[in-house]
Amino acid sequence: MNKRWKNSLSNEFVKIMGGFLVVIVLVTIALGVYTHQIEVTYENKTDELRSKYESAIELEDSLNQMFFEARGYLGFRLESPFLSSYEVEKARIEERISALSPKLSTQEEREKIDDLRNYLIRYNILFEDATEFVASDNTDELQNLSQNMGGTDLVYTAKNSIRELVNSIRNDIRETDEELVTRLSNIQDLFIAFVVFLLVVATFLVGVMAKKIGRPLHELAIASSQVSAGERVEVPHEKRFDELGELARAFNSMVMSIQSNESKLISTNEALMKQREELKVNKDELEQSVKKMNYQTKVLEHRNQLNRSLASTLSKPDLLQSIISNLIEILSADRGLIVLLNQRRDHSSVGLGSDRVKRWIDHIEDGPALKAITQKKYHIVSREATPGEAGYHEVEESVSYDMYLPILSEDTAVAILCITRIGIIFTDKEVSEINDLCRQISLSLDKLRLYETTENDRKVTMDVLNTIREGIQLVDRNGNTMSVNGQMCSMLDACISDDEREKDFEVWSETFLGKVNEEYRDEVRTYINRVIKGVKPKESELVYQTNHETPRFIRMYYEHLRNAEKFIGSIFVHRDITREYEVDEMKNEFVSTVSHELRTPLSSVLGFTELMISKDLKPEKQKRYLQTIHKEASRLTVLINDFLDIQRMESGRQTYEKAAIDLKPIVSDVLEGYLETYKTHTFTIEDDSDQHKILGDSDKVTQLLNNLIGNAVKYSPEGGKITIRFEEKRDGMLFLHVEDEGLGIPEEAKPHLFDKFYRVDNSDRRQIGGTGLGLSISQEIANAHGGDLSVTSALGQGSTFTISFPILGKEMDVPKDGGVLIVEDDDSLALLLMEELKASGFDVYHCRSGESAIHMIEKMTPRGIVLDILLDGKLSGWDVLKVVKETERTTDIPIVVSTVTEDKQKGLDLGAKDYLIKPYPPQDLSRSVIKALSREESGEILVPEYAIEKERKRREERGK
Amino acid sequence: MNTRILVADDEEILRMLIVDTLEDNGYEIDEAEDGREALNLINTHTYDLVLLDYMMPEMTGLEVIETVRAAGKEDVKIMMLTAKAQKKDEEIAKDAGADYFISKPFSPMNLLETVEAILDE
Repeated sequence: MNKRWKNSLSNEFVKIMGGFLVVIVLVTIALGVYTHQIEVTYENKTDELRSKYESAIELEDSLNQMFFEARGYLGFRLESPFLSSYEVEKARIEERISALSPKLSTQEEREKIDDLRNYLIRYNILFEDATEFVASDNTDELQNLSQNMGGTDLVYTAKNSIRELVNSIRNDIRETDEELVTRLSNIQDLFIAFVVFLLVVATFLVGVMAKKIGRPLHELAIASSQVSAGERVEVPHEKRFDELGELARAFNSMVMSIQSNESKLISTNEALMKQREELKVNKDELEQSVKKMNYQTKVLEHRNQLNRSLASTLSKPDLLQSIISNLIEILSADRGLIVLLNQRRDHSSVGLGSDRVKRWIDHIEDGPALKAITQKKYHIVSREATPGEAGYHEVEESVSYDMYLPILSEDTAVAILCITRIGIIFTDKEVSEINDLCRQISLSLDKLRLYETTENDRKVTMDVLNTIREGIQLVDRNGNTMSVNGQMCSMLDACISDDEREKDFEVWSETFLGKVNEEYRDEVRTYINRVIKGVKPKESELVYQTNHETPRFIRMYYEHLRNAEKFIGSIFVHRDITREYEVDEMKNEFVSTVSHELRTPLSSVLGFTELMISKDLKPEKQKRYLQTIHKEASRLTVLINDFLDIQRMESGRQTYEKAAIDLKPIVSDVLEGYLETYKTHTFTIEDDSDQHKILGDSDKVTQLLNNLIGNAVKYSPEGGKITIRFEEKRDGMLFLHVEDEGLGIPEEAKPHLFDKFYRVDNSDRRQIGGTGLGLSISQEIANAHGGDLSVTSALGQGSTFTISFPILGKEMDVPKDGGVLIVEDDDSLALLLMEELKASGFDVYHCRSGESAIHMIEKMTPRGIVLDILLDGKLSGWDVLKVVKETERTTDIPIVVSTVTEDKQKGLDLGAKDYLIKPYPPQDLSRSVIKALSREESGEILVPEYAIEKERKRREERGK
Repeated sequence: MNTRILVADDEEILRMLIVDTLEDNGYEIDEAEDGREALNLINTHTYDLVLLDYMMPEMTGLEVIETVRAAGKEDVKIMMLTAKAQKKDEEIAKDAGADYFISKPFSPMNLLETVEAILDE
């Protein structure tokens, strides 16, 4: 360790640098000390000189002052202050001289001071003389003293002496300074010389170090790179004992060891290379087999896919696509096409443009495909590949193979497959494989056909079910819903089979029962519970009421479904009988009311007759009874006639013998009867019209007038004026007002005035007889004439009944072409429908009867007609419909029937565009009218295309 | 004290028929033209029998019976005369508290016998 340290470069370097540093430090200290000494000497000397100088100056000042005072005294001869000051200064000079003396260093100086002292002593003697002269005022002696005795010279000599001293001291000071500067500059020179010396030494040292370390290192670096380049190198400096020597030795031994290992390494490497090559070969083999396996997996996968599709796909396009694309993959073919040999030529292809597919299909019966179809056997065509095909594979394979395969079902080709493979022939194995697949495909296509047929049948069935007006629900033997038609949903405002859960019996039955009115719920529950178990309920059908805001009445019945005596489920049928129910109710009420109305007069007739039979009566009483019986029997007749009228009118069987009639004489004739009977009333006719002719049935018009005038008389029991006034309106209507000054009609009675059997009842009217049918009949008659009956009245002031008739031959204010005509006898409904259509942007016109409708249609040629079936007057909506459709000019006008009559088929057969059954929401009318007016073919496809196709075929066959 | 009977019917002719039928028996007979008048008379007088028409203005016969019975007058004998001749009408009337029910048209002699029988009870 120590030896190594001794020899080491670091040690050498440390030593040199140490010596170097020591020299620098020592020289620097020496210079510092020397400079310091110079400075100290200089300072001491300077201090000394300065104090000497200051003392000399002070002495000079005092001397001058003393001479000044002396002169002052001698000049001005004033003892004070001069003399005293002189004495003071004199004493001070003595002091200052003694202060200065020790500071003097040279002989010369000391001589000068001694001289000064002598001068001063002499001066003092002179001055004392002078003082005496002054005291004796001996100016001459004084002057003599000054000039001749050397007084003045003495002064100057003294002054010069001290000046010379001062100057000499100043010179000393300057000399000292100059000396210092000289010395300092010497030191500076010395320092510079030292620095230069240091630099030289340092340069030398660096040079030595570079030579000693840098070069061998560089040599080592070169050697290293040579070694790494594979050269044989030996580094010098091995003899050195420092680190570099060590490094060189280590390096050389390393190089030697590397060189000795190299040959060993080369041989190992060769062995490794060999192994690698072997591995590569193995890997290639493995890759090949993996590729092969992948290919097989892929083929298998596609086979599986194909099998799955064949087994489960129920969509024709999906199935065809799956067949062809999987076959292409299985065979590694390039293109393929499958075409079903049906009418539509359903097909699917891979790798072919739609144009080529179309061309191919067009030539299916004259190309190579035909051979496959007719021979029912595959065949393969090899042909030169098209440039496109060859290019596709980027090789010069010039042969393409087209395989044509028929798919046979019951020995008939049902589809044809064409598969193209470029450059690779189809092997026998592949052909047999694909033949097997074709058999499966054939089975699958058969299955699909079967499914489609079933599905279409099901669709047709469902469509038919949905067109049926009854709600139908099919449940299985557990009571779970299997199928529900649309009507069932809309009837109950709830579909009871929206999802699987809802099909569950517990769920749907609760939903359904929730829609049933509480009163009927238990009964319905028991009913369905029995039916779904296959048990006959007590009643085969029942009627229930729904929970709707306006309740509906539904008749429900069932059928059990059996398959070979085995109970498999049930059908529930729900029929909306609200309308029938209401009609029934009305009929019952009518019958009940009629019977009630008939019983009252019958009671009188029978009662009085019996009294006459069983009692002995006075002749007057007998007569009165007979009169009563007669009156009541007459009332009975009127009643029966009214009933018959009403009944005829309501059933639309009332006939009107219409002819051109003049209203004026009819009114006069009717009035004549009253003039004779009622003397308390006055009757007047006012005529504001020059038109009185209408198309009418004179008997009915007479009945109408009788009813109105009779009422006017009856309801003005106190008598009064009754006025019949004609008025012509601009719209071609003639108004006939019947005004009385009677009781008037209470407000609450007005809405019911035209109701059947309604009679305004209050105590004042008790005596007034009547059937309550008169106004109802009157209104029917007015409507039948294309007019209307209306009333205005104020209680206690009388009433005015107004009948309107269309004037015969009078042009009406013809509405604009292009409006929609509503033919509707119910005014309030007509108003509602008019508002609805107006809101939809139509011009709307209205008339009540078939006659006026035909008249208006002739005049205005409307864009569309909304037609009620049961109308006022002789003609029904059916008649109007027929007339419009049979007249060439009007046959294209679309007609929407709006009626309670449920005979849609008849309406559509007669040419109506749509048929709405009342009640319906008004917006349905708008929708229907808009649809009817649009040029598009309206009407929905009720059954799928398939069914139409089948029907067409059947007709063709029948035709043959 | 004479036997007192109320006849309520809005048809004057029918009232006349009933009154004429019953008059020979010396009953004291009041007439009412409507239901309200009938109710007022029942409330203010004591009748041995009330003959009520069903269909009357102001108040129906049924309403009159219900009001009378609701007021606690259980002992007033009421006979309903009505042109509503169905079985269910009779049930409704009896449920409301009518003691007897005769449908129109009726036989006056039959009515007389019935009234006599009732009053003899």
